Amino acid sequence: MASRVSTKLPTYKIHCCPNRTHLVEKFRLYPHQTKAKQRYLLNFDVATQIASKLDVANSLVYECNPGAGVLTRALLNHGARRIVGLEHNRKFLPYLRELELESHGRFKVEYADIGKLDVAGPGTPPAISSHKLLEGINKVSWSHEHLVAKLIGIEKEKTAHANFMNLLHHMLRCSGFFSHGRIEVALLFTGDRAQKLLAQPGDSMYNRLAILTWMLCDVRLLHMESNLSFNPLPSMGYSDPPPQMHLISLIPKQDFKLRVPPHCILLVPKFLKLLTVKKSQPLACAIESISPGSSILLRELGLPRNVKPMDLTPYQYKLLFELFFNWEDSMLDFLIE
Amino acid sequence: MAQIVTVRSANPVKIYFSCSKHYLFYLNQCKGTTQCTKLANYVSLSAVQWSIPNRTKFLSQTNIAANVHHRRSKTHLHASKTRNHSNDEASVSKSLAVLEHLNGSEDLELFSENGTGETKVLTEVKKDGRSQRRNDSFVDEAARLAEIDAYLFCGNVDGAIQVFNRCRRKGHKFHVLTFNTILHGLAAKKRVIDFQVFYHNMGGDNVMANVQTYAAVLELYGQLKDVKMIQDTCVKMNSQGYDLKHIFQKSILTKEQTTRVLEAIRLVYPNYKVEICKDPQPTSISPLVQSLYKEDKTNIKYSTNTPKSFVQDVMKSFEEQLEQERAAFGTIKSVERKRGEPRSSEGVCKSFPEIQSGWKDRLTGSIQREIELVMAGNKANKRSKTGPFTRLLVPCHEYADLAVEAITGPVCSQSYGAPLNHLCWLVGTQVYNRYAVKHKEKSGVVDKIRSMYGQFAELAYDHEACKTINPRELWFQLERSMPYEGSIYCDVPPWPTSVRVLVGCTLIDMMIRECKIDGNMFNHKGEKIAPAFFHTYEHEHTTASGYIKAHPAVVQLYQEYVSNCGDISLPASKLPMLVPPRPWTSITNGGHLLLSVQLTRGHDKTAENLSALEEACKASKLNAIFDSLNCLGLCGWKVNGKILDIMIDIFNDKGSELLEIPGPELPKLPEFTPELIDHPKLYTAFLKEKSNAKKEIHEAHALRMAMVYHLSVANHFREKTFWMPCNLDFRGRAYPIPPYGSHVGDDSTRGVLRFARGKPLGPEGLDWLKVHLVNLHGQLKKASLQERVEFADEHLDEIHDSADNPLTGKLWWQTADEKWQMLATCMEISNAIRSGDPENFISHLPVHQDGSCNGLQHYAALGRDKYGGRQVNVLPSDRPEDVYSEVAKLVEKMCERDAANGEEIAQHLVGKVSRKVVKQTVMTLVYGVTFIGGRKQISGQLDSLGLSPSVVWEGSSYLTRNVFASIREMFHAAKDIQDWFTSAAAQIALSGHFVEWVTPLNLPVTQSYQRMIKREVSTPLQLVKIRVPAREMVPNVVKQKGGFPPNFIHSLDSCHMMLTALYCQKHGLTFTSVHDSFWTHACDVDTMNKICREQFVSLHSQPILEDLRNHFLKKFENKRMRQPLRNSKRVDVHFGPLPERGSLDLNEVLKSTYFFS
Repeated sequence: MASRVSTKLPTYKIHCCPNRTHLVEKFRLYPHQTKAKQRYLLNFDVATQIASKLDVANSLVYECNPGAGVLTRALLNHGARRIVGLEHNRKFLPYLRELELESHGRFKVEYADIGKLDVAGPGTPPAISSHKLLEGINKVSWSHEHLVAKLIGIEKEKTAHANFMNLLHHMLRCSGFFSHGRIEVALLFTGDRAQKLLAQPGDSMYNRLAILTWMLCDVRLLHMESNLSFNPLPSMGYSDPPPQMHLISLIPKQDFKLRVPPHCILLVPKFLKLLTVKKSQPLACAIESISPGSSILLRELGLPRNVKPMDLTPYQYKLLFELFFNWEDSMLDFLIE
Repeated sequence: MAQIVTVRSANPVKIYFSCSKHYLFYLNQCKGTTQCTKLANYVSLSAVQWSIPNRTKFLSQTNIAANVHHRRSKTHLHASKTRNHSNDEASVSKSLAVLEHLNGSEDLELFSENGTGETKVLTEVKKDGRSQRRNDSFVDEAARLAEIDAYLFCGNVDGAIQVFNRCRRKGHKFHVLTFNTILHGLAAKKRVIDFQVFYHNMGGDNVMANVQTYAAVLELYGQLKDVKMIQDTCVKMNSQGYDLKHIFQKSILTKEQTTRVLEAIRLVYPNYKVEICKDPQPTSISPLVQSLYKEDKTNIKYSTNTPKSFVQDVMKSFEEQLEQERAAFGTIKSVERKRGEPRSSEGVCKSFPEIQSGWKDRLTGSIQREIELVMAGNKANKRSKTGPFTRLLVPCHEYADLAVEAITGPVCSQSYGAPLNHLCWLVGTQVYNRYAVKHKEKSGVVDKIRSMYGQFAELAYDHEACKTINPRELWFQLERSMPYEGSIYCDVPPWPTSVRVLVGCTLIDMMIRECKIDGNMFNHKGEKIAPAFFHTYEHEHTTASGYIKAHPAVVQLYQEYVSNCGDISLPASKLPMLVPPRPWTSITNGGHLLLSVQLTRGHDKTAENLSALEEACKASKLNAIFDSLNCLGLCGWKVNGKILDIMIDIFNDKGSELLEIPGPELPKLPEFTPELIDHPKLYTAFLKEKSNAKKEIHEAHALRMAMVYHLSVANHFREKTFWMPCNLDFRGRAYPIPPYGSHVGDDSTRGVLRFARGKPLGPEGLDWLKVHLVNLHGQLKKASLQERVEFADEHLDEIHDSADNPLTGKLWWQTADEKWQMLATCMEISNAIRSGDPENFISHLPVHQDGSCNGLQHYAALGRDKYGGRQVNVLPSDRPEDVYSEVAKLVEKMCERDAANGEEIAQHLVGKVSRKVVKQTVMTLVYGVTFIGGRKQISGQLDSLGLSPSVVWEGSSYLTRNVFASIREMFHAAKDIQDWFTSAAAQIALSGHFVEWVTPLNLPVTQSYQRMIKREVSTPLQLVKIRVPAREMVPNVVKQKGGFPPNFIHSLDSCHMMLTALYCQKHGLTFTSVHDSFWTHACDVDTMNKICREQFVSLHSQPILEDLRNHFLKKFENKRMRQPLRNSKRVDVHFGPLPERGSLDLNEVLKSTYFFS
């Protein structure tokens, strides 16, 4: 493996299908499908730009929804050691298989859907288990500096919210996709989702998503790209200025350790859900309605009596979780489903 | 105490009326004083003509100030004002002119708004281009009526008028009934000026005064002892055609109101006596029942020689029933008895009833405090909306009891809580029932019913007399014979879902704050006071729904309590009645003594249906239906003690799956171990197992609780006779109202019931009992009647053995399809034979006669289809024909044919198509099952045969296609009629109307499948979502067209049942039914069979399809549809010709033995 670094890496150029019609022709997508479930990147320059922002040299990359493979080529050009593509649309698979051959095995394509990662039940493709994905990779401890892999791509829009929360829950438990160590997640999010992710206490969009993200990871905004470079475009066109896709990188924190009893880790997401369900309700009321008497925990944290759920920083939430689940009088009956 | 009645007018002059105790007037106007003085002069002039006491004093105190508020804000009305600014002078003089016109008329002189002018402007005004941000123009009428009524009940008439005016400002027009209630309220408070203003408003809104309005007027002036006004009113009444002698009959007055009106009339006519007028002859009696109503009975003379003690006993039970309905809850002892020691028997903790009464006390205190806050005008916490209803909750402790009892069952019996919207609705409904009963008590209804009931009961218990005397007419006569006691029809407008949810949520909110429990009750730690109930959220995907959960200690306590012969409290409307139910006389009167019931079940969405029903009722068209419901209700029931004991033993022991009695053991949840986190595969498997186990636990718990309730109710009524009031659904099918103790249930609930009245078996009775036994057994479906009797004779030993040793003998009765009813029949036959004289043995057992595939029978009769008719036993034959095996045979033939041609899937299925596989599909085909539904059913059957999944999948599609084709071949007439129905319904729905029709017994039916939207009701706890019909009432085309054929056939078969009931009652039989299964005593089965067939012939001799088509033509022909039907280009509604009739002779039914057998 090491010898390859010295040789000149072949550059991969696109045979150029920058246009929707080409896409339709080539891959026989549905021509009238303007509101696609998935956006695809077709512009090679944009792809190179994006790939340069991500630090992929010598790393293992999981790419979700490569589509026509534009971003894949850019990543290959920038020195990714191995790329595993997870494509759920069967129409792109033959083309991606060609790319696989071209890249002499650096790129492998799997018929998989990132939204169906670790779904319970009989797993027929495109559902995939993270076991299979992480085969052959050495386990690295969480606090090690080295990142095992990177997850790159464009978020699938249809079930984006649920998928992402699942990823975060797995990150919390160090299980599933993250069972072999930390994996950096760098996805292109649409404008409104990015706002939700980057919100801070006091913003209107600050909610469970932001709390968990900031608690678990280091968040960086790498790049913003206008929607026009992505296909498909809506028939009516965009408003002015066109919305932007944000490239956000999430690196799980090295030193994150939630000190709660092991059986309670599963209850943390539900606990957070119940605390934040009603924004205008003071946190004391919410926590009392889960376990009576636990509002003294808020006093231990030094919070005022009528603090709202949206005023706490993620770090304070972490402390609250630890306090609550380690407290002997807490009543967990409502959290166990 | 100054009150303001705001009066608007279209011009910048705004006139405020303020009526104080000394009748001071304030005129406000900001323009020049000339107009002001003009107006003021007018006021003083007109005041002269008013007949108010202390006239001079009033005049001297008249104070005329002048300022007008140009409120340049909000309402659209103001837009008109600014527009009319230019012609100031003209408009002011116009207003004056109108006032002078009013002056000149003979009417009560009031200075009120120029009503006519205003309404014109109101309607003309456009909304000025501003979109109404909060849908101001939508008025939820039912909720507003409930609010007005609540205000009036507390005596707060001003609140009612405020709500009323608010709605009028939005443009809503009220019905004359609402006006009347407010007028009555004002009259009761003797507020003359307001009354007169209001009365004028009525005229302004173009609402005609009716008899009740005049009654209110008389009430007012009677109190003021104003003879002249009373005489004027009487004259006006006569001029409008209302006769003073009939005033009490035609209007609905409470007892107090009646006394006042009587006083008023007696002031003028001291010798006034009421004249009881006859009912007008109903305009259209259906020809089917004409023979029943031939005689014209003006005075029903009913006299018996029943002993006094009998009447006393009846009245005692009557009082018990009244008490049960008044308290709105009945307490039943639970039959559950757990073996083994309860965990908390160390004597540390208190028992559940003590804790519950502690909650009730605290809740009472909380309600009282809330009422004080509302009366003080506190507006926080949504009190402005809930205020009027909170004030109804007096006396507080009764309502607190109600709320706690209603919550206990659903929430405390398991740990996963109950959804909030359902709970709120429950509590709100209970509060409404209690309030309605209170209202009736206050109006004197209870006393009147008590005095009427004694005489009615004598008739109800006497079945022979029912042959000639109609209970409904007797009730009518009794009611009219006491005109001075008020009317028994005083009722409360029903509360819509939004109001119930609101009231319920207020009470639940208070309960959450007040009810406490010791959290460490089972923990052996120190006492820790925690709330007993919590409001949390459960998430389904991303939607969060509010739940009320109980503290785990509460759940444990309650479970142990119930399982040790605790008390269960059930709402009174779910318990059987202790006395015969009231006869149905109108849409909202009948059944229960005091509780409010509806003739047709339905929710908010069935509003138009109600208006059609009311019209039909007024025209006396529904008499036949009322009578048949009365007949069903007068059938008394008793509990079969022996069978009940056996069931309770099994229930408390281990339960028995064979006998369908759930046991006390619940399936267990899989355990969670920490190492599962490391193995993702195992973990996901564990999650799936856990969710399946949870589902099973919920189901098992629900089944067990349902059985507890059924058995406990049966146990409670063990020694008594009980009755079930009956009710219709929107199509006309009859159901008993209480769910517990009714014969419409599954085998175990039916097994414990038998008739209260016994009849000797007579010559045929024993044979019919044997046939009944074999029917229940289910083995000999194709045997003739004679063969069935022989089969029973062969098994006499087993019958005796089952009756003597039910649980220890040969257990032959457990091989039957319907086990518990089989056991009851075995016991009956055994007793009859052993008594030595079967013909005179008194039997109480109901014997069933079921129609074979009743829907197809009706279709065959409608289309006069000979071939189809033979299949379903419409034509006589020696043996019963079984339509399911015929279909199975046909399909089998098709399979063989295809297999011979080499089709693979047919080869797999040859020999596997049995009767069982196709039975369900054929049955549901009549009710419009679609291809996908049919395929699911067949695939389920094939699955249980054990074929491989791929064969099941392909095979079910293939078979479904074949089944449909063969049914179409066999019943092509039925299919043709069904197609005609579907296309007609689709066209009607596409044109934006609901499908509606009139059954042969004159019941108007409307299908109200429409688009429902979720509306949010904001309550103190959270926003609760309720499903209500969308405002525009858009019909749901798919449901309308799919639902019409089955609904129509259901309404037909209910007509058949009702006719049979009526004629059976005429012959003195006891009759009851479960839709297409008719029950009666063993000795009367022959008579009932004859009547059943005669009525079927009579029903289908009517031109049913032609009438339906004419009705559709009249109502819907040539309306525009919003899109054409498939396969056609027409865009307006057009009904094609009816399918052709066959050559079946209906009278053959009279000879068909197996039509109902």
